[in-house]
Formats: sequence, structure tokens, C-alpha cells
Amino acid sequence: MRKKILMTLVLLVLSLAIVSCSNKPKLYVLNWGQYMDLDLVDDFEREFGVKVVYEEVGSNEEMEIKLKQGITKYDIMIPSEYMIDKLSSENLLSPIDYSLLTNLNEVEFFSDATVLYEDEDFGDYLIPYFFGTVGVMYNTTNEAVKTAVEEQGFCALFDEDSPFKIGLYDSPRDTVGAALMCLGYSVNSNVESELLEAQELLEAVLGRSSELTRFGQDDLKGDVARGNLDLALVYSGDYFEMVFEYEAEEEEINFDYFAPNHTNIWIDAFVIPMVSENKELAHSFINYFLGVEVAAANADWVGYTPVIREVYDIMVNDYGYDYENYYPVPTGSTREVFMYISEAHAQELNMILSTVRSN
Amino acid sequence: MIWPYVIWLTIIILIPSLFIILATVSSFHIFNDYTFRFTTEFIRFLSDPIFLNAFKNSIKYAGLTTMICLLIGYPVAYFFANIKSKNKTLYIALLIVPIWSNMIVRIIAWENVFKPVSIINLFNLSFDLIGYDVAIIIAMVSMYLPFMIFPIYAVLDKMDHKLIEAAHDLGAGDFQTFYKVTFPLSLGGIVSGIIMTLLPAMTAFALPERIGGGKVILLGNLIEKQIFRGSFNIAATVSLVVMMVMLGLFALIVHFDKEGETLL
Amino acid sequence: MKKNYWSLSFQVTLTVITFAIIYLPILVILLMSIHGSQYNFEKFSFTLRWYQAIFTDRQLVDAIIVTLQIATLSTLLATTFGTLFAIGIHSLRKKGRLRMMVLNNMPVVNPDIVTGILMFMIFRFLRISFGFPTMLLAHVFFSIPFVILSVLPKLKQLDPNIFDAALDLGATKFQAIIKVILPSIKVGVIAGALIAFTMSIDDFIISYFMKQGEFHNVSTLIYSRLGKRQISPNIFAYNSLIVFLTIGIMVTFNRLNRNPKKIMEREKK
Repeated sequence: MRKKILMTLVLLVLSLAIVSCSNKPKLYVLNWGQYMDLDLVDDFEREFGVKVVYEEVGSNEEMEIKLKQGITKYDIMIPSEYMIDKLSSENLLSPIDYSLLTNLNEVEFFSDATVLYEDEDFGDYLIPYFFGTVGVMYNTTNEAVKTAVEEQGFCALFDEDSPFKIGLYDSPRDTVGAALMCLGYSVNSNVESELLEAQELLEAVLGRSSELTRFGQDDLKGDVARGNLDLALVYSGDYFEMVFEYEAEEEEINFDYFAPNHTNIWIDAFVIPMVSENKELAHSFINYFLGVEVAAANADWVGYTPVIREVYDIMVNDYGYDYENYYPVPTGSTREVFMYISEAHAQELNMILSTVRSN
Repeated sequence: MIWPYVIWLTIIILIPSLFIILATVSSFHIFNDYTFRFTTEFIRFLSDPIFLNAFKNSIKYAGLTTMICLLIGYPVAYFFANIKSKNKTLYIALLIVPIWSNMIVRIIAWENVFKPVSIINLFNLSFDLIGYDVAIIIAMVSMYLPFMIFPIYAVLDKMDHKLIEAAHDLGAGDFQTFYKVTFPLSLGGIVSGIIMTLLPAMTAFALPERIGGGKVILLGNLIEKQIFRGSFNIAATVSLVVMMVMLGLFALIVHFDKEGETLL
Repeated sequence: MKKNYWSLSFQVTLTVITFAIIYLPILVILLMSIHGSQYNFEKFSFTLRWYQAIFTDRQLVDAIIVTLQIATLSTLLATTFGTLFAIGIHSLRKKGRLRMMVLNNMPVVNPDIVTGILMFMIFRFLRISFGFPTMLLAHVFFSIPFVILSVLPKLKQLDPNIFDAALDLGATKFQAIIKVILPSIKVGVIAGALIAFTMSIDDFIISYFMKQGEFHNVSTLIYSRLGKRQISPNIFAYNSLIVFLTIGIMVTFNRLNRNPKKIMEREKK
């Protein structure tokens, strides 16, 4: 009797294991966490009779390593502009075949977005997805935090005399970049003395009492919202995500977002890696997410600002997204985009963060 | 029935260990680069403050954790070994229950406890300890204490009580009996317990990252960060260091307990 | 006598501290799983919606299934092979046995992260794609030594002649193992299986190196979400369910086993 039970159990487990494999064509997608409505991906799977293998990472660098490891032959990735620049210069991306993207004729991209890549060498390798800024998210319970953020901008994050609890992004480019912008330099500065100044700025703020400064990733936004942090370096879309979550849960919102006048603008885009074995299907996937209705549903789920004008209008008019800062490039602001400079520069940024952390 | 096991262990332990050594001293790269240009880069890395600091941190946090676990764990193991209750096994089993609860989730729980706004506000309690040594150590003790208790309990439980009675009959006091009889006999369990606590604590990466506020780097963090986000060769170098520490400690276990009976 | 009292109360105090420190996270998790809000902790509000939310989280459900599949299969495989290997090791002479045990205990002592990297490298080298099979193999790998460690002592308690006696009576080697040896080392085998299952369910670090793409077990899923999004309390709900289940199983087991006479009776049956 016992044997029978055991056998049935084994068979059950085995059959479950087998069911989870299927021989539909597979599309490997590498994306950021919470950056695509998976229900829409399901719809795509059903419509095209394929299986989408969807994987999430936390940074551009992680995407790069995953691609280069070659363990998975990705069909779609959604990195940011500087990584696309790097990957395309290393011949790892395959150019987009615009003729396969029929929905492209139905939509218009914001010129504030297209200007970021149109004239660059990597412009033919991408279809834009979302764009936004980097800024400071802060808790509004304490009036003094608001004042500090509005007066100092990014420098509020690096003030060694600050009594506030500060969250920094666990990514060399963003955190060192913010320090550079606080100093009034370019986010892409490759001047040794300027980078050293940025490093000193970071060391100073980390020199404060232990609980006051913390590194994190997308968990920072939740901590600012709850009040575990007073202010943090956050992507604009992350802030909106938090707003929507609080609205859905009917909680009181005690946080706000501030985009300094001079800040970094980023654009994430679909690319098709060279190793893709199913480029046609990859194009269909991109095309699917260019469709206005799908794109709007996706934008509502993700919370970032869509690059397609028609979708943006739907968001603002029909979905009620008339938030301040929702459009990332207000007139009169300075928006700087990250550029891929060299491997040495990327390593240097890495070293700065590693060094300040190991003190 | 021995050879399949020997072959299996060779494939999974020995061959990749050679890879690690290769990747440390040459440009060998498991992902795409099977070249063997000899390099001494690893010597420079071993004297780099980033490595030294991680090593120092590992010794500090793991050492303190192990010490506290031993100080708490020994008396507890002694207590469990000597209780005479019908439910003895149940009490021991209750020490295992937390291990069934996912480790990452337990780490998140501690992370929450140490943040000022958290679930414990319901009891009007609030800590603000993320990034502090004490927070990391409390969390580590909580994770690894059972692993110190089990091996010590195992030796104490098996110990022949006649030995203790004999010592008493020969006129030894309680303390003397413990010091001269019980303690030396439980040494094997202590060594195993220390190793089963020290090594995982040294190489933890999720715990120091979460509770340390992203500022505390242990050897485990170094390996994890480098292998997926940096240089494979550096990850190999750090792994080699960890393996050497492990082998040293392992020699100690083999000395005390040849068949590893206390490792369970 | 007085001294004894102090020593005992010292032990009891530390035992209480031990239970407090290892159960505190469990209680915190439980509390978070029944509290209505993930953002507001001023007033307690009871809810069971996070428990419902386990089942609407497709990724989590998949990961739970994977975790259970891997744990069950790896326990079965590791227990079978581990027991066989243990019998093999036991049949060696002392010197060979000690050598084998040193080899066997190495993976037990080896930090998970190193084991993870070693296995990652060999699978990568052999160009085996990561996923269910590699994770299963890895779990079998780290469980076998524990099964061996748990079975060997029982083998030692065995009468060395019992195996030969069975052979003399006309049993084949296989029959002798199944019919004679196995029943007498049952306790060790079951304990080994239990350890294997526990290790598999709790493992994070080794699994972390064995996964790829959207394939996750519960630990790697939670870790991958940790930096990238808010941890939804349904994870806490799942975790609390597991803990309740474990405690339930253990208490029942204890009830059944409490009376030694009963055990004897059951053995006879």
C-alpha cells in the first residue's frame, strides 16, 4: 500500500515536471523588474501561440553580463541608452527591421525622446519603450526635508551635515552621476579631478552615523514612502509606481518627487541581440507593444512615461495621469543623457562605489 | 557501490576546483574565454583594500557570531541532552521548525524589525539599527544558532552517563566533572558546531547586504557581486581563499572526528 | 544542590533566549501576513487577503510547485543513493572507510556559495543549460552526504553477520539489502530523508547559482524581487503556512511516537 502511494507521488511529480515543458517556439525576454504587464505578455503568447520566457534583472550591467555569458540566447532586451550604445558598438545587437513593425505607422514618438538617440550610431538598433528622469523622492512629513531638497537639489543627498536619512542607488552610474550633477559637472564627466571630487562627496555623506545613509535599489522608494528614509535617489517612474500603489491601497501619501533643473534623462528601449534565434518573432513582440491600446494598458501598469504621444494623451486624458513631473522634459530644463564613454570609465565608476563602500 | 560515488564527487568537486585555481592564476574564463595566459593579477587583488576589508569584515562578523552562538548554544545543548521528558524529541524538533521557514524571508523579517517604521510599531516598539554591527550579529545568531546546538547536542546526548557518575563517585564536584569529563568529550561537537556556524556566516551575502544597508561587504558579497556583475577571475580568487579557509578548518574536524559523526 | 539550581536556571534562561531569537522572525512574518496594510503600522487591522493573494501570484505558485517538486524528487534520489553508498562505505575496511568519509564530509563543510560556484562551473563547462535538471542535481548532490551521515551509525549498530546469514539462507545480495538490512536501518534512512527534504526546501545559495530565466524556486524568486520591487505580504503568508504545517506534522509525529510500547506494537504489525 505504502509503495503504491509512493509510486503515485513520484509519477505525479514527474508528470508535473513534464507538463511544464512544451515545444512551442520560445521567445526569451530580458527586462527590469516590474517593467512590463505580464498579463499582456500572456495575451501575446496566446495570440501568437508561443511561449515567452521572461527574466528580470536589476541593472544594465547585469543585462550586459547575462547577454555575454551566453547561457540564454535572448531575443529581446530592454536596456538603457548608454548600454545600447555599448552593446551596439561591440556588435552584439542586430539592427531593427522597421518594415516588420507595422504599428510604427500609427504612432508618433516625442521628439524629446527621439532626440536622445536619433543621430547616434546606435539609433538603428532600438525602438524606445519608456523615458524619464532621475530625481529626489522625499518624505513630506518633515517640512525641513522638503526645504532642503528644493534648495539643494541633488546636493541634499550628499550633504555631510544633513541630519536626514538618505538612500542612495546601488548603481555606480546613477549615484556617482548624481554627485557629479550636484557639483555642477556633466553626468558623463571623465575628468579625473571631477570624479575624485564626486568620490569625496560620497565619502563625506557615508561618514555620517551608520543608520543615516543606506544603499538600495528599487526598495528605496518604499522606504521613503513609509518614512524609513527621508530622501533618496529615485527614478521618476518608481515614484509614480509608489503613488499608484498608495492610491490603490487608499493610504495617505506623505511623499513627493523633485526633479532638479539639471538632471539625467534616460530612455529604455527594445533591442534585439545578435544571438537571437527568432528575430521575426522578436519584431512581432515589439510591434505588439507599439499598438496604442496595448501600450496604454502597459503604461498604466508600469507607471513610467510612455514615449508615444498618442499613448501619453490617453494616459493623461482617460487614465487621469495629470501628475506634475509625469512628462520628464518640462520647458526650460536641462536634461542630460548618459553616454557610453569607455570600459575604463565604467570600471572607474565601479571602483569609486566599491571604494567608498569599503570604508 | 563506492565507485559511482567517488566519480560523482570527482566531477562535482575536484574538476571545478581545478577551474577555480586556473581562473585565479590565468585568464581562464568559464563563459567564453578558454585561454590560459598566466597572470599575477590575483596577488594585487589580494592586497587591495576592497578584498582586505571584506576579509576583515568576514572574520569580524562570523567570529563574533560563532562566539555568541557557542556561548549560548553549549548550555542549551547541555540542557536538552539532560532533560528527561517524554517530549524531548519534540523540543529538539522545535529548533528545526524555523529552518523550514525560508531563510530569505527570515532575513526580510529582521530587516523590517531594524527599520524605524515597521510592523513592531504596533507594540510601540521601534528600532533604527540598519547598518549597525549589532543588527547584523543578532540576525546572524538567529540564523545559525541551531547549527551550533545540534552537533553539541549530538555528542552530549550520546555520552555515557556512567562516566559522570564515576567521576562523582571518585569525589569530583559538579564543576570538576564538567571540566574534566563532559567538556573534553564534547570537543568534537564543539569543533563541528563552530565550523557549521563560522563558514556559512563568513560567506553569507543576502544577510549582510540587507541588514547592513548595502554598506557591509563580506567575502560572500564579493563573490556574488563579481561572478554575475564583474570579473569572473576575481570571483574565483575569492572563492579560492574561502576554500583554503574551509580546508584548514576541515583538517581540524578530521582530527577530532574522523567519521564526521558530529556533522549532523 | 544550590549550585545545581543556579546552573539549571542559567541553562533555562539561555534556552528561552534561544527560542526567542530564532522564533522572533517567524512571529514577525506571521504578524505581517495578517496585518491589513503594508505601509501603515499605526493600528492593527486583521486580514486574510494575503493568504488569498498567494494563489493569484502566478510566479509564486510556479515557484512553490518547483520547490516542492525539487524537494520531493531530490529527497527520493538522495535517500536511495545515499543509503546504497552508505552500505557500500560500511562494507569497506577501516582505512578505506575513513578516507571515504573525509571525501564525503567535504561537501558538508564546504560553504554553500563555493559549492554553488563549483557546480555552476561544471554545468557551464559541460554546456548544460540551467533549470530544473541542474537544480535537482545540485540538491541531490548536497543532500547525499547528509543521508550517508545519518545512515552509517545505524549500520554500525547492525550485527555484522546478519547480511551473510541472509546470503547463506539463499537470498540474493539485492534481496538481502531490501529485506534484511533496510528494515533495521529504517530510522536512519527516514532521518536522512527528513534532513534532505529540509535542506532542499530551505536552500537559497546553491539554487541561486542553478537557476536561469524565469525558472525560480521560492528562495530565488523572493531574492530576485527583493531589490527590484516591493515584497508583497503573500510571501509572508506562504511562509507562515509552511511553518504551521511543519509544527503540525511534528506535533502529530510526537503524539504517535511518545509511547515506546506503541512503537513496539506498530513495529510488530
